[in-house]
Amino acid sequence: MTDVAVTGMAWATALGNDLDGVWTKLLAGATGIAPIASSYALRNDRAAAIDSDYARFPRRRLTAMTDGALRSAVKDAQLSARRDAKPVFLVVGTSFGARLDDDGAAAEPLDEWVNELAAGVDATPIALSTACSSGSDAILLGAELIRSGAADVCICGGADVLGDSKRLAHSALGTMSPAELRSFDQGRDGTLLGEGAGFMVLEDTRSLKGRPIHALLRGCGSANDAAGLTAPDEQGEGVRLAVERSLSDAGLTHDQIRLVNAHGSGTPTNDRVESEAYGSIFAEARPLIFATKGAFGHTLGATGALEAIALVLGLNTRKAPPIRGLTEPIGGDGCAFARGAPVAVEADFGLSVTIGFGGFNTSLVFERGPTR
Amino acid sequence: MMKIDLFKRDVIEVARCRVADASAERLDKSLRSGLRGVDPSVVPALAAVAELRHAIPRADGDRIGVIWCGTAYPRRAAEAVRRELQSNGRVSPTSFINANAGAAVSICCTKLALRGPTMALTMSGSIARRVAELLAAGWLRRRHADHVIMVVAEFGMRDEIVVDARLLACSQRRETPQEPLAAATSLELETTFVWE
Repeated sequence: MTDVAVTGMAWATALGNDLDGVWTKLLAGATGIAPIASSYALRNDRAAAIDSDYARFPRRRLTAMTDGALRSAVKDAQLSARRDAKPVFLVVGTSFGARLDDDGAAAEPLDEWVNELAAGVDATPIALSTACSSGSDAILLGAELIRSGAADVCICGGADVLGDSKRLAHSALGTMSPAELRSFDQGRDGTLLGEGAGFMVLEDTRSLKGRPIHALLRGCGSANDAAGLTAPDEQGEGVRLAVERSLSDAGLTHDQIRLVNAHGSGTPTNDRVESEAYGSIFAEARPLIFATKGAFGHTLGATGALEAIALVLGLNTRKAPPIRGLTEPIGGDGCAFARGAPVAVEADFGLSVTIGFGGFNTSLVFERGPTR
Repeated sequence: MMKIDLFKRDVIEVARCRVADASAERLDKSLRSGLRGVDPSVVPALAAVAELRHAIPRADGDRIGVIWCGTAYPRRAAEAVRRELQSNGRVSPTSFINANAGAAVSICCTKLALRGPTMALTMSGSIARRVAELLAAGWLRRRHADHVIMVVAEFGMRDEIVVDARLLACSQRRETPQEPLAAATSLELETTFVWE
């Protein structure tokens, strides 16, 4: 089977844009979540915004932020001078993007902004939306295009902007924490929103010609919960199916996975279901689990891509950042959570898992890079 | 038998159907409950996916995937969110969750207990269809799914939603439908089976 390498990575987050700099902040337990004023009454005014004036020109901000991240990923992959016979695909996922908060975005086709971005990097655009799994599904789809032989290179990722509609909706849904985002903590009471963009450049390993790689994308798995638009499957069956499919894809066993970047939204039900699913899947293997939403906020359509990048950095630096706000972990047999301080981890393989509204579960398996 | 050109020529179209502008009242009774507040784009998609799912009654729902592509999306639900925000500074959770571009896929999976892999491509045209076929073929070949239902949903000339759905399978592993689809005149389906 064709091997898929990660040759470029970049992100735009509330903690900054520099790959190593943001990673250092994650390890130090920093957060980009801060009070962000809104014109509306919210359950919590805290969010992880890149631009505190977030409500102005959301469509323009989304495009600029995404363009910056994807161009940085392309630069990181040293792709600029390359000419491939096959098309380069730009695969971008978002949840709502700007379309609920911007008159211009609301009036245009959903893929218009992706088409604009693709034209700027001479790529064939692909747009998708699977809620909070959008970023990871973009990576899954890019890998599929390479494996099928349709492409040698895919620039894949996710992006989303903060908007009043999202803040109000999560206030009304009760999914927004009134206090802090505390993934997998017994006292967790909800999520806090963020914004960002993350991109990976995926390439067929046969086209690398000695260039360094960050990691190998070894497998991908997807499954739907079939439980409703917001509620997860109480038994975690969708998560289990996605993880098992990704492991089967990778040809790996449970005990070979030593590190997991979990979804960890911080909502009471999601975190319970997710942690119980890991306990059931991995049993005594007990991989180290970390989560980054306490630092980045829940960036919705971007979160899968940001988390995939963080997982690769964790594998390559052999460290996992502490889960911010986690003091008393919830049960979940088999779960070993990173907390308090960076945790050393000898892991060659890791999972990045996302759980989206609508039951979209996605699991990505990465192998640490040997040569970067 | 129609074959999709996917390099190995091992993925086949088992069945297909078209649904245009169905109303919820015309859905099978078992599917109608809980559809209050859904966007109009959901109903024809649900009707089409249900029709194809019923063609393979013995198939395990955990192994049936769904891929959505096309220009259609929950436009009315999104407009409701914007209207609510502008008129009273609130957003209804119902409008918000139903404005999700993946809502139709989610509702189809929930109503029909499908836990295979899922994807929603928010684009139209030949590239979207080709990409959807490639993805379906990958899932089928690697046995992440035994069947994949590919839903192409477009806005029609009068803003109605037109859904073309296809049931795809690996030729070696597909379930042979036990009986042809029931005459679906009440849903105005144009259903075509393509048999070996």
